[in-house]
Amino acid sequence: MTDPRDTQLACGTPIVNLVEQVFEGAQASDPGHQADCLHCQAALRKLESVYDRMRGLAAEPVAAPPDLVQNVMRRLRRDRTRILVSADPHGSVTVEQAVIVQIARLAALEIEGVAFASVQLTRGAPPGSVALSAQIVVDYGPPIPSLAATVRDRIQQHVARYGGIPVTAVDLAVEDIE
Amino acid sequence: MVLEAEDRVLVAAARRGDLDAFEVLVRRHQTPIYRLALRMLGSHSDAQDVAQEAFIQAWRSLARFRGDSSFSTWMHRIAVNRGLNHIAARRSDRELSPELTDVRTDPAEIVERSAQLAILTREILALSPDQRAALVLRELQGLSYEEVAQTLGVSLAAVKGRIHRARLALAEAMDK
Repeated sequence: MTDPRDTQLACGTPIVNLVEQVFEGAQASDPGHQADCLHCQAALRKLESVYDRMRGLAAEPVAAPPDLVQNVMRRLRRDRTRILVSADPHGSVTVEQAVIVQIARLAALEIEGVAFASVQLTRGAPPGSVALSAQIVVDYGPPIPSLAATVRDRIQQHVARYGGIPVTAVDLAVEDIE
Repeated sequence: MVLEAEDRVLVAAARRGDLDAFEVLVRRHQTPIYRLALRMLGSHSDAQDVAQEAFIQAWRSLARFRGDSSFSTWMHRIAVNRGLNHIAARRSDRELSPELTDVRTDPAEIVERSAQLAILTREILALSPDQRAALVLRELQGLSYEEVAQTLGVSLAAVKGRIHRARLALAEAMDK
């Protein structure tokens, strides 16, 4: 393949010089030669014509379609109750919020010492992740701080593993003891 | 108040899940992004699809936007990639059904415009997708060479080479 930067006009002038002169406002490399050279003048005329049209096209007003914003926002609001857990060039996977909440609840209930668990999604997680708040009732016996830490970790692991989405925060409240 | 907030403030709010903040960003950037898609694709309906999908993808990828470029540059990058994918998909369509042409310009559109700009539009659409993307970003969207390189994810030298070849090709096309 030839490098077009090396291409010259019949008079020996590198075309790249003329292109940069027209498009980048560079100084003519050899003004004396250009003034007399028909090859250079013909090439400059063509390039200037392209340049002028390009400026014309750049200045042409283009308005976005009036329903563009609405279409985008409608799609995003509809997605709200679904959580995107995976997006790649071949498609996307969304999971209902309820599914994520259920995974989190079951994760908490699996732990010995947890008698009851309720989980909600909270606002404020970046798109592509979730934040949760959970309320648990615990059995009397196991130390509450270590149990709470286990619950939080387990919820995070299970939602990531089975729901496919990272959990940025789990706000945990121990509401009662049995 | 929210209408005057800077992009980075709105981006931060959108990252926390604030759709209203994101709507302001869409409103603010819709025209350049739509114009970019239109110049790359040549058809209003394709441009609308690509621009809308680009914004939807941006929302879904916000967690990965680290703010090392402006929101505008990042948005351009998403839209260019979607535009290039669209061109590639259109090409494989054409291989399946040869009557489809790559260059789709709506005749009604051309009438409204000066014939010269219509010719230039057609010639731009005949460039290779890589050259076309670089040229449109530089000449029609007004990005600097550095911004074009950042947007396309290629070196500055590659960008300059593509734009140079694109300009030459357009000048050559004037002979036809």
